[in-house]
Parts: sequence; C-alpha cells; structure tokens
Amino acid sequence: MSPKPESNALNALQDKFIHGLYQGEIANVEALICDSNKLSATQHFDIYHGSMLGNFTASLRAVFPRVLAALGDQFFDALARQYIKNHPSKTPILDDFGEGFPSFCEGFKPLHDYPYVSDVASVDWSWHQAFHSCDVSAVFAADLQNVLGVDQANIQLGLHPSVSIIRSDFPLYSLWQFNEQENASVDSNNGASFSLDAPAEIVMVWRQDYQVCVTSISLPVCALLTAFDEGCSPTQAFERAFEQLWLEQKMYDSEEALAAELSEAWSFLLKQGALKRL
Amino acid sequence: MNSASPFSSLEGLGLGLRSQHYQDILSGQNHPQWFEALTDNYMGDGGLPLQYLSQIAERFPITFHGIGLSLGSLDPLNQDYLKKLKALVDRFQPALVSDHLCWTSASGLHGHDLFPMPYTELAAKHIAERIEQVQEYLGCQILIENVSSYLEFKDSYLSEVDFLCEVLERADCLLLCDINNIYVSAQNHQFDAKDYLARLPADRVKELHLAGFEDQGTHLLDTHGAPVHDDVWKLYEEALKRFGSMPTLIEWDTDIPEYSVLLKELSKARQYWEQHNHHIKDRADYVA
Repeated sequence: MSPKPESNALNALQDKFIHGLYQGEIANVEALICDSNKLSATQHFDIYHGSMLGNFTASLRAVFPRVLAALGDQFFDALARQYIKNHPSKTPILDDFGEGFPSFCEGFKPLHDYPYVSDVASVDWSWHQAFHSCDVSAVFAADLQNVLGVDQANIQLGLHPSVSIIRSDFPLYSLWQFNEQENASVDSNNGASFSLDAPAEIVMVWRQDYQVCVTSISLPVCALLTAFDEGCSPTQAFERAFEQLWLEQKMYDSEEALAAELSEAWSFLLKQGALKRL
Repeated sequence: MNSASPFSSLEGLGLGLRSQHYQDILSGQNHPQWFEALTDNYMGDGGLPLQYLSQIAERFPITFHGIGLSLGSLDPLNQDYLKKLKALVDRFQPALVSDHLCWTSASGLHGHDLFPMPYTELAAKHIAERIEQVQEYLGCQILIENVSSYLEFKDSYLSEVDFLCEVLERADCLLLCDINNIYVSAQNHQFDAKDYLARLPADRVKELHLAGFEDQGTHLLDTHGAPVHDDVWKLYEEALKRFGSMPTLIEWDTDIPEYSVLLKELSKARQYWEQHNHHIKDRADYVA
C-alpha cells in the first residue's frame, strides 16, 4: 500500500535516512538534520550509522563464530561491513539477519584464496537455525518398534525440522571443528595448522532436545536424508539411495556391501533423531 | 479499548531477562519481583530460549518489550511479526507489552535501531494510528517507551514531550517512561528533564526503566552497559514523587555483568522505593 499523499514528507525523510544509514552518508544532510552546539548534522547522523553497523556486526559475529575464528576480528568486521552494505536487512527480527552471508562469502573477492569459508559459514548458519527450530519429537528406533501395527516399510517419515545437510568440496567438519581453536590457521606454518587436502566431508546439523549437534555423515546417510526430504517412504528411500549410490558413485565393491552401509546409515538416523513422523 | 487488558497487574522491581542469567534465575534465591523479556529474542519457532522463558514465566510475572513493530514507519505493519507477537502474548500472558516511540524500518529496509520521529502533528497522527492498529490486533493497550536520541530532524516543530503526549492521547495507549532516556535526550538536546517528567500524563504511566549510559564527550550514548548514573537516580526520585511506586526495571544489554551486579543495582532502586514510601507514610501520618 502506498503512503497517503500527506505522508510523503515523512516517507521521504525515512527513505533518505535508512538508505543513508546503509550507504554511510546522506547527501545534503543539513537539509534533514539540525546542527547542534557540539556536533554537525553529519556527526549526528554518524552516531546512528556507527550504532547500526555495531549492532549488525555484533549479530553476525554471534551467528558466525567459526567464520570469525577462521578470519580474525579485523577481517571478519571488514567482511561484515561489506555484507551489511550490500545486503540490507529485510526482516524486523535481527536473529533472522545473515541468511545470505555464506553465499556472500563465496563471491567476496578477498576470500578468493579461502574458498572453504562460505561452507563454514553455512554450518554456522545451520547451527543458528537448528537452535531456534521448532520443537518436534524425533523418531528413534524404539519408536518404530512401538508402532509394529503400522507398515514400517511404508511409514511416512521426513527430516526433523532442525536438520541441515551441507555438502562441501573440503574436509568441512574437520575445518569447522578446527576453527573452535584459538589462533587456528589453515595451511599455515604458524601454530596449529590444518590441511585442505584431506578428503571432502558432508556435514549434518540437527538438534537433540535442546542440544545442537554437528557431525560428518557418510554418503549413504546423505542419500537417505535426501530421499526422505523428497517424501520417500523407508522402502522408497532405500531403493532411491541404493540406485543413486550404485549407479552414480560406482564406489562399492558389491551390492551387498552397499546394502550393509545403507542399513548402517538407517540405524544412524534412528539413533541420532534426524527424522520425524509425518 | 480494554485498559485492564488480559494481563495480571504488575508490582515492584524487575530485571531485564538476558540469556546469560537463565541458570542464575532458575537456581538462585534472591530475585526481582518480575522479569522483562525482549520479545524479539523469542520469535523463533522453538528451542532453548522459549524453553527457558516458559520455565521463568511459571515462576515470575513477565512483561514483553520489543523493538520490531517499527511503529513510526511508513511501511505497512509487518504482519508476520505481529502474528508472532500475538502468539507469544497468547502463550505467555505477559503483564505488559511494550515497544518504542520510534521507527526502525523504512522502504522495506530494517535498521534494528531506534530512530527518532520528526516531532510534527502529522507524525504523531501517523504513529498513533499504527499503535491503535496494534492494540486492536492484540486486544489490549500497549506501552510506548520514549527513546534516547542523538539528532533532531529539521522538520520537527514540537518538543519531544509534547509529541509524546499527543501520541498517548490520540492512540489511547500507555507509557513506559524510561528515566535514563529522558536524561540522555535532555542532555543531548538541551531540554529540562524535570519539566519533561512534570508534563507527562501520570495516569498513563505504567512502568519505569532505568539503565546506564556512556559519556562520549560530545553526547551521551544510551548503551545499557553501565550502572545507572547518579543524576538518573535523582531523576528517578522525581519520577517516584510524580507517578508513585511505579513498577521499575533495570536494563543492561551490553557488556552484561554477573547476575549479582544487576541485583545490586536493583537493591539500590529498592532503597529509593523505600525512601519514597517512608516519605509518603510520614506525610500521611502528619496529615492524620
């Protein structure tokens, strides 16, 4: 709904001010804001600009602690300032700000030599999402045993709302864990170091009761989760995962070996509470 | 408008609820009489924050204090935010619900900070209409808090207190009077804080806030990260004389100290309460 004509002046003032905050300056600010004895109009505006940047940066630091650890305070704050400027908040809830930060990291030129940072950011964001996700009962192995009357092979299951899967070209779980340490550096001769040449890892983030969990998962676990997310029953999920891994991956010695790994993956999901009943 | 609201009455001294103190609150002995939750921190779908809030709300009266309504904005009220606020209000039945006399968003962009209004008749009418819409939606009166400000818009021709009184009257809403914010803005804009207090409609004041500021040399910054300043305590004394023993909250949002530090600030507020009550009793005895 467009503002009433008599509200145009108020609308223009707010529009100019909010865009100015994100750009860091307002053209002809003296026409909008009064000078005072101690401060010019620009300096009055700068108080709000500094405060807003500080709030947003603090929020991003809290939501992306492993990215902060990986990059250090100075680099992170510079990255955050660019993100804030280029991706203004479109939500009234500050906790929801930062969804686009991982992909922004991916395209941020100064991070060109650190391509894993966006994946670490994705894990941090998934952690944040899981922390606030809906309280839904997960399905455990014992729960399925208690519903023997139901056709278990065709029971409708879906991903627990806290679950995220992050695929990466890097040893992501190890990287994420590594950045818990202080003074961590990747491929560095100084202090604790970490090699990016280690095998790629898929990460799952989810919540058990109120505890957010992060771990690396196998390809069969990932394949089953993907199938359940697409609405498959357990039987369909096994078939789809088997087909995908056998035909596409071609990395299993025998069908029996793959079936055994899928069975193990199924047990893992039921032990960790990564699924819910639909 | 239902002035009683669905909420129970609120009395005494409260503390701003912060996640750093959840365990202290649930395990300790000395507590304030109520807690104020920052509504925006509990708008997730579930998880630990809401779980803690449930436990604390079972033991203490709570109030809700938000920043996301953006009451002064020209953008439409955010329906998703309103729905979440109503769901929280319905679930927790807070004693009071409040937001600020400000705007936080415009043209679809959110600043997550409290921007002052231009103090004009038009702006007062606009924000009052929005407050009425929120009250209608929630089914109760809300409290509006005066904000600390660091600039004055050229368009302003009313004083802040006249603007505030106009909004309260037009919207038929209540006032959360932040004593620290009055002091900070009075210093920043060279107005008389006592005169501001004296001109507020006492019957609409339902809660007081106290917090600390930082002196930046050229201006005072409302950081909520320091003890309440001596001059603010003096102004609080004036407020108690003017409004009576009003429910009072200690807020601390940055560099959050240990729970015991907040309880110490609270005991200081209690001393002012007791002095005020003794004064009232002495006067009553004298009259009798």
